[in-house]
Amino acid sequence: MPRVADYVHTGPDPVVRMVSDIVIHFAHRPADDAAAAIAAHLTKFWDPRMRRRLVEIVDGGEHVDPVVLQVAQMLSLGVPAP
Amino acid sequence: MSLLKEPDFGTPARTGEATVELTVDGVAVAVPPGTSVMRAAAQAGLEVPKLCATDSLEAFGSCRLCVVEIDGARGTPASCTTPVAPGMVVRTQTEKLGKLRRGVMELYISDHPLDCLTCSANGDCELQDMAGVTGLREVRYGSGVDAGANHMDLLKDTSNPYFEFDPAKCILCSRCVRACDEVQGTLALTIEGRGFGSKVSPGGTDFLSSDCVSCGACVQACPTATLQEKSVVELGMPTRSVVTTCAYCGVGCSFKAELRGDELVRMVPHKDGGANEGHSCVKGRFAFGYASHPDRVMLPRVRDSIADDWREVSWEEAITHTAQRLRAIQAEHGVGSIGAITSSRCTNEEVYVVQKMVRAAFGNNNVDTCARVCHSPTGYGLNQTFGTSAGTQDFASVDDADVIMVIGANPTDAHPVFGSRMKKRLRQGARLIVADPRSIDLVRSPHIEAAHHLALNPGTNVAIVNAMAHVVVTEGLVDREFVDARCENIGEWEEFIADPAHAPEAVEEITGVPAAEVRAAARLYATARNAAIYYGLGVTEHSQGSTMVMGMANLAMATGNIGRSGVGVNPLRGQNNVQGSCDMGSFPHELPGYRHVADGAVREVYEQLWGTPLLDEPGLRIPNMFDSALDGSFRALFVQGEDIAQSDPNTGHVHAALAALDLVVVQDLFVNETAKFAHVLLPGTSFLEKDGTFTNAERRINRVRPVMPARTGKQEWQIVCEVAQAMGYPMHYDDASQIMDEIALTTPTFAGVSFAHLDAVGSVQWPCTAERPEGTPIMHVDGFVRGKGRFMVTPYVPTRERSNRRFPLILTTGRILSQYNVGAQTRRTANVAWHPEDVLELHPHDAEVRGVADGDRVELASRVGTTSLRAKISDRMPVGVCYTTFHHPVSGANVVTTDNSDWATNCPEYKVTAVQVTPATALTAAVPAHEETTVGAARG
Repeated sequence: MPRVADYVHTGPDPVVRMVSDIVIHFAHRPADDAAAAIAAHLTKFWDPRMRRRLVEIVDGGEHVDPVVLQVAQMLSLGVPAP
Repeated sequence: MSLLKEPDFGTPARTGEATVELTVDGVAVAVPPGTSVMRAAAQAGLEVPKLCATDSLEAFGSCRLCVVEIDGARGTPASCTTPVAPGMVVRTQTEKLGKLRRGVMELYISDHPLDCLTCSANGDCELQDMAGVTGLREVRYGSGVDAGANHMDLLKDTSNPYFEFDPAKCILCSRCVRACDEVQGTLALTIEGRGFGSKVSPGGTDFLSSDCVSCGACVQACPTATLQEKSVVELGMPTRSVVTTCAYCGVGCSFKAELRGDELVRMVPHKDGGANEGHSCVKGRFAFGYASHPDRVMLPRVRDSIADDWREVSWEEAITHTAQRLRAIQAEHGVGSIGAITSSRCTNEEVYVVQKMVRAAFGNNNVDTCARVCHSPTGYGLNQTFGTSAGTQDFASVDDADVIMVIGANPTDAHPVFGSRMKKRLRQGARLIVADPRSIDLVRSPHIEAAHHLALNPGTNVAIVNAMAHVVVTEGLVDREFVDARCENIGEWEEFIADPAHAPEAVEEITGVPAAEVRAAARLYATARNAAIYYGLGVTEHSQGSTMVMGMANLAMATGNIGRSGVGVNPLRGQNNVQGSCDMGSFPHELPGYRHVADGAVREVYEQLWGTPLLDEPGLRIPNMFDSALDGSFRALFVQGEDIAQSDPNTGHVHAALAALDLVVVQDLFVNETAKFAHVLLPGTSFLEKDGTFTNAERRINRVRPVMPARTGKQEWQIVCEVAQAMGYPMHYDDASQIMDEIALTTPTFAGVSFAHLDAVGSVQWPCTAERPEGTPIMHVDGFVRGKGRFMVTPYVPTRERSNRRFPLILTTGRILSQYNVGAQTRRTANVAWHPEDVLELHPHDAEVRGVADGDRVELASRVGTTSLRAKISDRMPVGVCYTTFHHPVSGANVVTTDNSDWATNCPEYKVTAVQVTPATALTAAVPAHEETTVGAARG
C-alpha cells in the first residue's frame, strides 16, 4: 500500500466549499434569480443529506453569504425528513 | 493478414453514384468515377492477382501482378492504378497475362526462402497464394540461395515486443511503409537504399527505438511473414475467430480475436468495424496478455479487517457474506448508508444490473460511475445546451471537416485510431486549431502543422472559448439563419459575450495566448464550410468543466456547426464504455436514458417492472461518498471494476474515506490499490470472457462476444444478481441478452437494440428505435433533442487553485499511448517496454533553475501531498507548467491532486494543481524506481 500520511481535513465543510463554487458561477445573475437556480440545482443533483447539512450549517450561522442564506431557506422548505 | 479472410477489393472505394459502366471478362459492372479497374473487377466477382495492392491503401502499381488487357489501350496496364472509363472492356485472364504474371512470380520467388512448410505464415501468405493462382511451376533463375545474389542472409529485427521483422522474406511491396503513412500517419517506415539494395527500414534503427508506435498496421498489411506477430511465430496459426470489441479507450475498435482452442493467439482489427474500419493501436492490437496474467484473482476472497490476510472462499460464501454485511449495515446506519460505483470498463449489461441492484435492492440512489471523474461535465453541458448527454457525430464525420479544433485532447495518444483518422483528414488539407498548454503531437508532426496552437495557461479554457465567441459575435460571423431557426436565448448570450471584457485582448493576460492568434483562430473556425470541435478531459477535468462544455456548444451553435457531417461537438471518451455506463443510469440522479429520478412517470416504468418502489431523490456522487464516509453517514461501498484508490484525486482523502468504511466490496480482475482496503474481493472477467455490449464515444453500440468461457466460472452480472437475491430482492436473467432486452424495453433511445439486431447489422448508434432501426450517426439534424438549442451564459471563474511562491508551477496530468489509466492491464503486458514508470515532464528553463537534469529523480509537492518521479526535460511543455501520467501506483500522481472539482458535477480538477518541483533528497534518489513507494503528506 502506498505510504500516504493520515488525512486531516481542513478548510470549510465540503458542502460549503461546493455551494460556494456554485454561487460564484451564478454571480452574473440577480440574487433572487441565482438563489432559485442554485436551489433547483442542489435539489436536482445533491443527496438530501448534503442539502440538510448545508441548511444546518447556515442555521448555525456559519455561512453568511446572502445568496446561500436564501438557498438554504428554499431548501429547508423542500428537504424531506431523514 | 488474418485467419478469416475479408473481401479485399484491392484499392479503396470511391464515393458517388455508380455511373461508370464497363465490362470485365464479359461481366457488366457499374462503379463510381475514379474507381480502379482492379476494384471494378472485384465488385464483379473477378479477383485480379495482386501483391502490392490492398483496399486499405491507395494504389501503388509496383508488383506488376495485376496487369490486364483493355480494348484500345496499349500494353498491359496495372489494374490497380488504371481508373475505369465508360464502355471499357477489360480482360483479366489471358494467356499473355498468365505468362507475364508467372514471370513476375519467378522473380519474386528467386529471392525468397522456400521454407513454406516451416514458415509462420504458412496458409496465411499472399505470396504463397499468388504462386498458386498464377500456376507457378518452375523458377528459371533458381530459387533461394541457389539464385545468386539475394537478401536471405539479412538479420531479423526482434526488438519490438509484439512482432518481428524478417527482411529475408520481404518482397518490397511497400504495403507496410504505405500503411504507416496512409493509415497510421506516423511515417516511421521507409524504403532505404536503391535498386537491389532497397530494404524496408524503420528510419535506420531498430523497430523499438524508432518512431514506430506499434499500431500493427504494417503487420496487418504485410502479405508475407516479413512482419509477423511473435505470438503466431510461437503458437502457430489460429484455428478459430470471434468478432468482439476492444476494452481500452472510447474509440471502441472491433477486433477478430483469433484463437487456438481457448488460447488467444492474436487480435486482428476488423475491417467492418464501424469505429475503426480495420485499424488498431498498440493497446487493442497487442496488449491483451493481462487477461491470462498470473496475478488474476480466480477465487472469491473475504476478510474481517483490512489488516487481516485474505481467505479464499466459495462463491456462495462470498455472496452470502456480502449480502448479509450490506443488510446489517443498512439496519444499523440506514438505507442510505451503502452504495456502489459502476465501471466504464464493464459492459452495458453489467453496469445496468449494478444500478438496478442499488435502486431496487439497496433501496437508494447511491450509485455513481467513474465517468464522474472524467466526462460528467459533458453530460451536464451538452444536456443543458442540446438536450442530451452525448457527442453529436460519428467518427466518419471528421472526413468532411474543413477545420478541426482540438481542445484539451491528445487523440494520437489517448484515442489513437481516431487520431489516425483525424490526421488523414489533416493531410488532405483540413486546417487545425489546437488549444492545449502542451505542444501535443498534433501541433507539429509529419505532414501536419496546426494553423493555430493556442497554448493557453491551464485553467483558462472558458476565457479562450468566450474570447473566440466574442470575435464571432462582434465581427458579424454569427450564422443568423441557423441561430434564428434552431436556437433560443441568443439575445442574452450575445449581450454577455459581446462585452469587451471577453475580447481576446482583454483576456490575453489571463490565458497567455496572443489576442491576434485567438482572433485568427476564431475567424478560421467561424468561416469554415464545416468546422468540428473534438475535446477531451483537458476540457472537463476543471473546476469550470461544465461551463467550458457549454461554451463550446455556444460556439458551435453560433456558427451553425451542428446537425450535419463534418461539424459538431465531440467528446473523446476516455474509457471503452464511458458513454454506455452513463447511458445505463449510473448517475445518482438519473435512471437509464438520462431521466431524472424525480420523474414519476419514468420511475413508474421501473417500479412496475422491478416490483418495488424507487426513491425520488438523488443519491451520493463519488466525491460525496468519500466525504460521507468520513462523516460516518456512508458505511459500505460496492466497487465494480474501478481503482478509485489510485485514480481519484487527493489520494490521502480517498484512502482515509475507504479506510473509514465498514465494508468495501471490490469486483475486479486483480488485487488493485482499492482492493487493499476491501473486505470482499469478487473476481471479475476480462473483456475476452464477457458477453454484452460496449457503447463508444460516437454512441455506437458494439457487441462484446465471449471469446472464451469465464475463467472464474461466473459472469460479473451473475454475481451482482446473486448478491441482490441474497439481499432478498429477486433478480435473475438467463443470459446477458435478456438484460439488453430489459434495457430496450425501458429506455426509449435503446428501443430498437437487441443482441440479435446487433449481430445482424454489426453495430448501431443510439438513438436506435423502430423509426431508426439502423441508428443515428449524426444527432440534432433537423432539430435539437431539447427542441431548440439553448445558448448558455458562460462566465469565466478562475479556479481556486493558485500558484504562489511556495507552489509556483502548475501540474497537469494525462495519459500516454502505451499505458492505460491506472495501468492495471497495460502494466501487466509488454507495453512496459515503452513506459516502465511515470515521469514528470517539465520545461528546460524550469528544470535549469531548479538544478534538475533529464532523468533526475525529483520531489513533486502540492498543497495536499508529495511524491517522487524521474524528470524528463521537454520543450513540449510551456514555462511554468509540468505534466505527468497516473499509470503507475508507485509514483501515485494523485497523491498531489486536490479536492477541487467542477462546480456543477464534482468532476475533479485533475488538470490544475499548484506544485513545486525540487531535486529529490539523497535518500529518495537512492531508492530504485521499482521499489519506491509513494510518500504523501497532508498539508491541509
